[in-house]
Amino acid sequence: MKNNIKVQRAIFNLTQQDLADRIGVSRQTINAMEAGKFVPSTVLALKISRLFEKPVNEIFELGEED
Amino acid sequence: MKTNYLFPHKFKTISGIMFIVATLVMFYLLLIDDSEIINLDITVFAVMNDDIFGKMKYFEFIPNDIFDELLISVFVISGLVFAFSKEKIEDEMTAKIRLESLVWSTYVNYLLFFLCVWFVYGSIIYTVMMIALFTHLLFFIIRFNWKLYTFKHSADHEE
Repeated sequence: MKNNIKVQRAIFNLTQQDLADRIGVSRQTINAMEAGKFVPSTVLALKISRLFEKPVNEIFELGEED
Repeated sequence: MKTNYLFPHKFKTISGIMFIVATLVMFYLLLIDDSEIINLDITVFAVMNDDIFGKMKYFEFIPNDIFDELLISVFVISGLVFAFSKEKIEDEMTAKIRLESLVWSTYVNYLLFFLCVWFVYGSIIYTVMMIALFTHLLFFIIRFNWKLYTFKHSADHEE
C-alpha cells in the first residue's frame, strides 16, 4: 500500500514526532508507514485522514502487490 | 490501541529482573549442578505421585522439597508478565512485532524440539523436554525485545 503521509505532513508543517503524538503512535511507526514497511489499521488510517482533513483515499492507495 | 491481554508497562522492569535471575538459576540446576542448594521441605497435596518403583498413587499428602516448584513458578509468572507487558508507547507496530515474534519463536522452538527428538537418545531426552518447555517463552522474549530494540533505533534521524 502506498501513501503520501510525508507530503501531507509537509503541508501541515508537522514533524514525524508531531504526527506520532497526535495519533498516539511512536515516531518510528510513522517512519515505517512513510517507508511503506507498515500498513496501518483502518482506525489509524481514519485518524490520519481526520487530522489532514482529507478522505482516506487521497492519502492511501493500493500498491501493485495488494 | 486497546488491548485487554497485556500487563501494565510498569511491571516490565521488575518482572524482567526476576525472569533473568530465575532463568540463570534454572539453567544452572538443569545443566551444571542439580544438587539441592536450599531445602524447603513441606507437606504438599499430590493429585498424582509415583514412587521409584513406578507405583502410582492419587490424592494424598506427601513431604516434598518445594524449591523447584517455587523456581518454576517464578520463571513462568515473571516470564509471562515480562513477555506480555505493554511497551512505553504501545501501538499497532509493537503489536505486529509481538505477533511476528510469537510465530517465530513457536516455529524455532518446535523445530529444535523436533531435531532433538530424532537426534537425542537416552534419559537426557527428559532434560531436553524440560528445557523445551521453557525455551518457547525465552525465545519469544529474546526475539521480541531484540526486534523492538532494532525498530526503535531504525529511524534515529528524521527524514
